[in-house]
Amino acid sequence: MVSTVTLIKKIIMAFVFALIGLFVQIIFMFKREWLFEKKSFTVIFIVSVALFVLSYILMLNHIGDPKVVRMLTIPLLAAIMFYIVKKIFFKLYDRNLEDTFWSMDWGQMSDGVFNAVFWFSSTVLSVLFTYFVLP
Amino acid sequence: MATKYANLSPYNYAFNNPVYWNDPTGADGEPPTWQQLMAAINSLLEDGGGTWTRTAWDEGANGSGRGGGGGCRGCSFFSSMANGGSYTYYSNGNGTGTLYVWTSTSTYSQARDEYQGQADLSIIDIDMNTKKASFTGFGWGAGEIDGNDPNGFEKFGTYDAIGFGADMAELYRQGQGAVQFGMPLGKAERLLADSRILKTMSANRQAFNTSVKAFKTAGKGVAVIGVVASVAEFATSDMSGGDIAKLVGAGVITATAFIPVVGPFISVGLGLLDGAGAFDGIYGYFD
Repeated sequence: MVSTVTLIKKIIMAFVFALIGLFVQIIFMFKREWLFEKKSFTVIFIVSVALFVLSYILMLNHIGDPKVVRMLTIPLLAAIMFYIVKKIFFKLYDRNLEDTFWSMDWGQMSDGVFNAVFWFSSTVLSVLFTYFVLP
Repeated sequence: MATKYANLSPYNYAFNNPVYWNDPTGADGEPPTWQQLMAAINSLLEDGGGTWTRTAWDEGANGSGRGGGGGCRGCSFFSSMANGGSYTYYSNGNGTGTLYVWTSTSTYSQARDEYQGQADLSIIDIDMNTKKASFTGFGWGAGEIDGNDPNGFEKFGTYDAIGFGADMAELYRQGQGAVQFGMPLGKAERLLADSRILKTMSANRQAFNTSVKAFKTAGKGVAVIGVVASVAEFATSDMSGGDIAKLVGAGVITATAFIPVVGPFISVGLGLLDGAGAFDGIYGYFD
């Protein structure tokens, strides 16, 4: 019984940390203008850096499950990836990325490809980088 | 002569709206440039302030003005089109609003020895904050106007500011035809005098847009929950090859949702298959 409760707690904690760890992607999905505005992006970036530092503080002090706590490093990587993708797209098309989620407009193909590249790299590559490359 | 061409005016070159349209050469009206269009719209927005301003439509129809959120009363479809087109801007007061553009064209039919008309209504939602315009066009031909059949969509989509300018230029081009109209106008005037059709179309359009938006938001929610669950599962797993494959699978399925047109079907299809365990064998292969 105790082990079941512990397991449920562990799952909930993992989910909560994953939610925090993917907050940049969630903003990208629902409120992407915050990522394009300089002021709000700066706030997001500062929060990402703070979470990154917090993650290492918790890990170095052996607080919490290190595999779960490590998810707090993802936002910084995602924010950097977003910045790179945004810059490349802006250089190519001289405008910001449009939201193309479930879009039915062929004309948005270039936006769609860049969105997909960012989404995949931020949700998969950054997670793999966090767990297999970062010390 | 004057009675024969009573519908013509000295300002026909500019569709009775010389403030808006240009005719620097005197040969023909010229489409405004994008900058001029944007300047005109900006001017409308500045003048608007939550009220209805700058329209030839109300003057022609003796129509009443419309404040933010109010109804358009006494607007005449006939007078608007017979004058070659006009526009009306309804400002929300926060940099957004809706521009209604009426235009008409006509072509001469030798067989019937008469002009045959075509009228277009363009409903353009403008957001000057993001410099975007959402364009919906409706078109009628002579004899096709009735209360039940607005004759369908011609276009639906979202355009950037330049696309919007191009649309406006196209509307201008359409409006270059002679301003003659036939039999259905009396009926059209009755039907549209109180903007019943306009309101219905606008309500339908808004309901459609709201539904699409809600549907997309729900899809986004499912995608986010799926990815968060996958990452959480990966973080608590032993991070074997199969776990990595599962994470990559979730990333690919959700990423394809961003690819226009084909992406929605691929992502939903793959998502359902993955949920049903169709790819477990593939994930197991990497263990």
